[in-house]
Amino acid sequence: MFPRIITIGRILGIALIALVPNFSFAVDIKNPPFYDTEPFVLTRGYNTPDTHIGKDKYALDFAQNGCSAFLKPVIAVSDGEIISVNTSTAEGLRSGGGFGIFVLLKHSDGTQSRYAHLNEIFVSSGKIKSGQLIGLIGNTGNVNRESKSCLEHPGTHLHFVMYNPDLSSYKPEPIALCEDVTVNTKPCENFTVRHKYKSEQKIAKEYEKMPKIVAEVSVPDTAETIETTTNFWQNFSNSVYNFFANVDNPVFVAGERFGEALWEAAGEGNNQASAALIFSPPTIEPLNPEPLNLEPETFNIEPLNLEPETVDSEPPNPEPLNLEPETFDTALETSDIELKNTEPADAVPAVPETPKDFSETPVAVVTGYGNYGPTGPNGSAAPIEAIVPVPPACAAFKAEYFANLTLAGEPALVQCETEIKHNWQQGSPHELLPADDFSVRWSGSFLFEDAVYQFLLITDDGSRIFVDDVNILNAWFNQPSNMYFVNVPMTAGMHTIRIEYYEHTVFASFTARWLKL
Amino acid sequence: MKLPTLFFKGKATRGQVLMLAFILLILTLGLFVIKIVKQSNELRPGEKYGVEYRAPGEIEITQVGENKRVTDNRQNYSVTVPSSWQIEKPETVTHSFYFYDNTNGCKFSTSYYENPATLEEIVQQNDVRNDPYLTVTSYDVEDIVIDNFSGKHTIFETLETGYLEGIDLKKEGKIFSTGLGVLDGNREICSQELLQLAESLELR
Repeated sequence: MFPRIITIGRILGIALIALVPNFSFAVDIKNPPFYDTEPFVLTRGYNTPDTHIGKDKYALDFAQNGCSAFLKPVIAVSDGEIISVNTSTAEGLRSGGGFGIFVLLKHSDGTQSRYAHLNEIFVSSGKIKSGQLIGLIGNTGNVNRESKSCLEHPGTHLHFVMYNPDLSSYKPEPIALCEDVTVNTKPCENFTVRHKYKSEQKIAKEYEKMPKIVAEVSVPDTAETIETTTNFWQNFSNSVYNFFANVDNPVFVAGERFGEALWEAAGEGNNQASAALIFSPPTIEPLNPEPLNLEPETFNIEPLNLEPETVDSEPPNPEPLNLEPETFDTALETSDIELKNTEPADAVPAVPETPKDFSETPVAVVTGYGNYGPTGPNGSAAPIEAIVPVPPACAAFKAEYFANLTLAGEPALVQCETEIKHNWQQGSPHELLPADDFSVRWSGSFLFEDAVYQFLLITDDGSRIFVDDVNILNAWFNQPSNMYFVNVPMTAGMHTIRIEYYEHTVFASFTARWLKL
Repeated sequence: MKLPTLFFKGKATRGQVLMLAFILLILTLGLFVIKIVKQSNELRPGEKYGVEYRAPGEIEITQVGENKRVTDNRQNYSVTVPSSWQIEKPETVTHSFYFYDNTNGCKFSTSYYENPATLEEIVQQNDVRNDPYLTVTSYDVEDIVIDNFSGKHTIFETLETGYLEGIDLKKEGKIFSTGLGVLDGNREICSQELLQLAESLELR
C-alpha cells in the first residue's frame, strides 16, 4: 500500500511542478513581509475568529518560537505608498482601531497591505520600495494572547493583510485547507508554513535539518480516492503558486523533493503528511514569461452629492476677529483670565507688527492614527457661508480652492470659512474640485496679544502656516494624517495668517488652529 | 628561543624584547576586538535599527499591600495595579505600560504624553466608525470626570479587532491615556478594572 502511495505521490509531486507555469498571477507581492533570513511560522490563518474575520478574513499572523519575533524587522511586500499609520502604543481609543502600531501601504495595482501590532515603525509617509524596512514586530493593540509561547511580551506577532481595491481582504497565501471553514471552527490552528526565499546553495545546506512541517494533510488510504487526491493536489498547488508565483520569478528548486517528502512522511505513519516548501531567488529564466495582468478591479462609483450644506450666513464683521479658541482645558482657562487683564483693544497698534523671530522655534510632530471621516462636503465641519464668483470680504478666513496641487492659477472656488476643520475622506470639497490633487489657501487678519501662541496642524496630505508671510510651520509633503504644532512668540496687534494645504491621493483631512499659551 | 629562560636569566636581546612586546600588542588588540564583537552581539534587538531604549531606573515597581505601585519616571505618573497582574514594562522610550489580567483576559495600557489637541479632536481623529477597514458593531463615547480631570470614555467593538475601551484625561496640554483590549476575556470585569486603573492615577 505505502509504496503505491509513494509512487502516486511522486507522480503528483512532479505534476505540481508541471502545473505551476499555467497558473495566473493574482497579487503583486514581491516577497514575504519579513527578511528571508528569518523563518517565520504562520500561527493563525484565514477565517479564524476572533480576529481574522470580517474585512480581515484573509489576514495572516506570523510569529516565531518564544519571543524570538519580538523586534524582528518587517518589510514591505511590494512597492507602495503609505496611506495610513498609527504610532500610538496605547490600547483603546488610540490603538489604531485595535491594530496597534501599523503601516498601511497602497500598491500600484490598487491593492493595499497592512502590517499591524508593530513595536516601532520607521516610516510615516511617502513611497516605499519592495523589501524596505518599515518597522519591527511587537504586540501593540488588541492582540490574541492564546499562544503562551512568548511570556515576556504576550501576543507578539505580525498581523499581515492584503486588501483588494474595494478594501476586502484576499488570500496572499497557500492555505487551501482553510477555504471552507466557518467562524465556529478553527481547523487552521495548527497550520504552519515555512517561507524560504534563499539561495539554492543555502537551501540545499539547510534542507536536511530544517523542520518539515507545512500542513496537516489527510492522505487517502485507498486507491479509489485517487481522483479526490488529484483534485486536492491541484487545489493545493494552485494556492501555493498563487502566492509564490508573485515572488519575482521563483524557482522551485526543491519542488520534486516536496512531493517526495510529503508522501514519504505519509508512508511513515498514520494519514498525516508533512513537508517543506522551499523557494529560491531566480537563477534561471523566469517560469512565467507572460506579462502580468495587474489591473485593479473596476468598481462602480456612485456620483457624490456635492451640494454644500445650507448654513445661515452671518453678515461680514468689519471688526477684526479675535479667534481665540472657544473652550479648551485648564490651561486655556488660565489664558482667558490673562486676556481679560490685558490692555483694551484700542491700545493695540493698528499697523501689524512683524512677529518675533521664530526661526529657531522648535516644531513638534505627532503622528496619529489615519483619519477617516464622512465623505464629501457633508463631512466638512466648517460651515460654508457662500459660494461666490469673486472673493468676498470674509469675517475670518477667505478660502481659495484650486484644482491643482500647487495653488496655481485662478481658484476654482472662493468662499468664507470661520474655522479650518475639514474631513473630506476620499471625497472632494466641492463639485468644482477633484477628490485628489487639489489645494487650498486660507488667509485673513487676526488680532493677537503679546504672548506665545501654539499653532497646530492635523494634516493629510501637506500643509504649512505663514504669519505675516513668514513660514512658521512647514509640513508640505505627502503624508497620512499627522499632527504638528509649534509655539510662536507673537507681538500684540493684527497679523496676517496664511494657511496652505494640498491633497494628493486617497484620504483628505485638515485642521488648523492656534491658541494662546 | 625559550622565553622563560630569557626572563629568568635576564639575557634577552633587544630583538627578543621587541618580539615579546609585539606578541603582547597582538594579544591586547585581539582581546579588544573580541570585546568589541561581543558588545556588538549584545545589542538589544531594536538598537541596530536606532530604537531608543529607556534608561535603568525610569521604571519603578513597589509593593503596596496587596497591590503594586508602578511609576514611570520619564512620563511622570504612577498607577496602582493588583499584584496578580502581569506587568510588561516599556522597554523603549515611546512605549506604554502594558498590564495583563490573565485570569479575566484583559490587556491594559497606560501612558501620559504631550498633545495639544483637544479631547474632542483626539476622539474625532480616532473615530473607528469612519475607518473603512473595520466593521464596527458598537461605539459609544461618554464624558467622564476622574479626580477632577475631565475626560472621554470610549467604548467600541469591531469584528476585526475585538472589544476596546479607552479613558483619556487631559491636564495642561498632556493626555493621560489608559486603554483596554479584550478578545476572549470577561468584558464586564475588565471594564471595571479599567476604571479602577484610571482612578489610581497619580500625576507628578
